[in-house]
Amino acid sequence: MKAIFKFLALMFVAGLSAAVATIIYHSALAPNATPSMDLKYVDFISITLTALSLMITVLGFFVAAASVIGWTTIENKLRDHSLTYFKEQLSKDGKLRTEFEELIAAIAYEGVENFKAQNETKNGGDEKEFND
Amino acid sequence: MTKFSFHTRLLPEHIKILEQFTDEVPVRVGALAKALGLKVVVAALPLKISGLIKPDDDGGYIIKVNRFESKERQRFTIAHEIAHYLLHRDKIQAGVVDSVLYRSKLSSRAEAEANRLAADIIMPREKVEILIDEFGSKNITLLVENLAETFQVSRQAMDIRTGD
Repeated sequence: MKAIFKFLALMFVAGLSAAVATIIYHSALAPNATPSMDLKYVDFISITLTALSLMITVLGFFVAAASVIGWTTIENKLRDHSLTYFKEQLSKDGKLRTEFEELIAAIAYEGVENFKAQNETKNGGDEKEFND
Repeated sequence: MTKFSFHTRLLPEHIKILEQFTDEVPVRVGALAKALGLKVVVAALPLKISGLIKPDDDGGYIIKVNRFESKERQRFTIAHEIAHYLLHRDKIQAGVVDSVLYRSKLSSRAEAEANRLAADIIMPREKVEILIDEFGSKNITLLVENLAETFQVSRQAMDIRTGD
């Protein structure tokens, strides 16, 4: 949000500077300049296209600036949201933590299944009373 | 005020038995289970299972603990299953099988309750406090080791108990 305000302020200052420059040019540097009435069609088209391309360029700058600001905002929001999400999910009894714990336990016991089978065969797999 | 968590949900006769058996350290969990009318056996269970409690043929309940686990672990598992019996008898139905993470078909809340009561049974708070004063060690690791040995529980379990 702060970045957007900065950008708008910059645009405002740029516009103001351009307006001041135009006033200075007309009042001090070329006070007697008069508009020419014999403008040819080719000149008109050329001026129009130049103005159009200038506008498109300026628009391009705006879009580029908005993209940079937007991307930064999205990145920050995503980072904050991810942190909150993982903190919550990895907290005690969090769903993701539970999944991880079960996965780790499964991996930890996976390789020793045969050991259990061997022991069971050796010891007959019988039950005995627990003694304190 | 009794020393057991969720004591309002425990039957007075069960509290009496618990108080009787938790008076000596290490707590004889096998004898405690027997006094509560539960049969305890050590059996070859799948490695991912620490223990289970299920209805027995004679109308009571039987607790099975995994023989491939350490004695300390077996003792805590028995206390955990006793806690299930005391708190969640109505939910046991065909049986409750606890994984190595003490998770079962019951909710996480029920499992947490069973863990808490199991800790109260096997590591009675007042006994732990008395022995902490008695040992009086400034080395926490050594203290936890001594307490774990005295109560016949794992160091991890005692670490949690002394930390809460």
